[in-house]
Amino acid sequence: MLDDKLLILKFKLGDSESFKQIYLKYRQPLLKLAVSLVHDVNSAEDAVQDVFVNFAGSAGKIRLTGNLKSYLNTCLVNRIRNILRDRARREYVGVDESTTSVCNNNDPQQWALVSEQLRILSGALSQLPVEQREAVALHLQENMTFRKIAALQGTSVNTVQGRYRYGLEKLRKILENELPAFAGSYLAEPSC
Amino acid sequence: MKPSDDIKKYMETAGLEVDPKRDEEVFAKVAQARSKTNNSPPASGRTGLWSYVMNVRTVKVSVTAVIIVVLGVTFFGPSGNTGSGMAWGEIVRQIDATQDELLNEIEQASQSGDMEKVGAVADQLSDFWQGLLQLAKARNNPQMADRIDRAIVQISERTVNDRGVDADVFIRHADKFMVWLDTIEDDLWIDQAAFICKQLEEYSENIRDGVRKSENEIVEHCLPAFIEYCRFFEKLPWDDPSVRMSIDDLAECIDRDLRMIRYEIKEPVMRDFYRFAKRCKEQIQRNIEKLKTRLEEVGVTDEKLIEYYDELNEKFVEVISRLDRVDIIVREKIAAGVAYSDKLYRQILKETIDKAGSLEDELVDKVESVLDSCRQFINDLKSDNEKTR
Repeated sequence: MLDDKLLILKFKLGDSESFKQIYLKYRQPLLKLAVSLVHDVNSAEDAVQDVFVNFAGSAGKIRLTGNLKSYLNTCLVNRIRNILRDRARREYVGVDESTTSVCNNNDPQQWALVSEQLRILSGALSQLPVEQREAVALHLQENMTFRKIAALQGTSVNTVQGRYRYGLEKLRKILENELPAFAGSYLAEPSC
Repeated sequence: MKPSDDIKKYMETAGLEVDPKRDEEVFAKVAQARSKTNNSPPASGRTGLWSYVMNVRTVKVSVTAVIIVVLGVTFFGPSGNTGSGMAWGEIVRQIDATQDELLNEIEQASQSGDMEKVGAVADQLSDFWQGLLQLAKARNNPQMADRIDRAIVQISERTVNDRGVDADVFIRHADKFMVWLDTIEDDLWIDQAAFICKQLEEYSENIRDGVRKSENEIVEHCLPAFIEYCRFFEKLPWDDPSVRMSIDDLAECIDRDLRMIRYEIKEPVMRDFYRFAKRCKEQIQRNIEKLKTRLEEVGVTDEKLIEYYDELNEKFVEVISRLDRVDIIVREKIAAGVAYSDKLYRQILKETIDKAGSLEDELVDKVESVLDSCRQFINDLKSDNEKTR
């Protein structure tokens, strides 16, 4: 946490090296989150790139005591929402009939090299409603608190907890169907 | 284990790598976007630390004026055909010598952590160069103007990047805030502190809003310490209720409030202080009401808190009532056709208060006594809390 704050400080003072460190530290987690949320590597890459481009010009706006990870995640989620909205609009008007998103490593120009597990996870998450998907991915993957997710989604903590719970149940069912081994390897004892 | 542990475990194994070549390309694009942003001059024409210290105008030093006069004489003097190699060489030598001297002062001040001094000296440097720039433009010497303009840019780059001195100072000061952010478990925790900090937060927000909405925008420009104060508040983790502030931080907040007021008293534009003081008083009264309500809600009856705010309020009332009388007289004079000037205002202030000594000293004394009460209050609060633990 202290490292991030020093990075932000140096970044605000115009230090290029700190910007690079921020980029190197966060690009992979952001890409992973983006792929989880959008199940399309190209869109995920575009979103993350946009986040960093916007961040590059945000030295004046970012607060010294802000949470850098949270800030970048929020920017990414907003960007992903725009992508999903545009996609839904295109599908609605029939411009883009391709509704199957791709998530593979066949493109040589690809920045993110997605593991098989992430591909499956992303595919499973894509079957959840967007709000549930966000709640599950942000809470489990990024350890974001329900309070922060609620602020991001513009709703109450209770609603987010509900979305998370339903999303988690649905996700587990999907993964158990996709991966018979999932039930054996990962299933935990239910808590009391 | 929690029900989500299985999925969490799976998520952790679901990895992602980046292609190194594409990674470099993406970073190059992003870095290009950043350099475009950095190349756009901000409103003040300066970036980072430079624009910060430019706003901290704590001291105007006659040395700067002397330097400008000396160089002005050289510039405009009998041999002062600025096209001549001799005069130009002398000017360049003077410029370089003065700049090095002042930059050394900045470095020394930075190492001692004296941010005020850093600001003051950087201020001198800025004035010095700005003065020269004006001279160059006035003499319609674009080459010299260009030379000076480039030097100003180099100074800002040097102080922020190559020398790295001032960045270190910022980091050292920022460390102080950052360390307590990370050691909150060790901090002293008193419920009232959160309330007070919240009140101060609203206080600063309202003050800032008030200033912004003020019909006289000069108020904000004439309140550099206020700007510094706002920046201080912006840096605090107001949005995160999970971060607890210690009593020391609370004392720092209150101290800052009142030190800012003390700075404003020393500013020559007393009229603006009057407006500002009035807003402070209004806000403090609102704070008192809110604080009382909040404390009642949780069943806390700490009379000391209320006493503190009441005392602060009284001091403001005293100061403002005096300024009110002055305000009336100034308005009467303006109505009678006398032009307003700060000099007039101060003259009436002195006559009204009928004091032989320095008016600023009197007002400063009042604020200092409040500061003392404040510190005593904080000490009492600390010791009370120690007793109850």
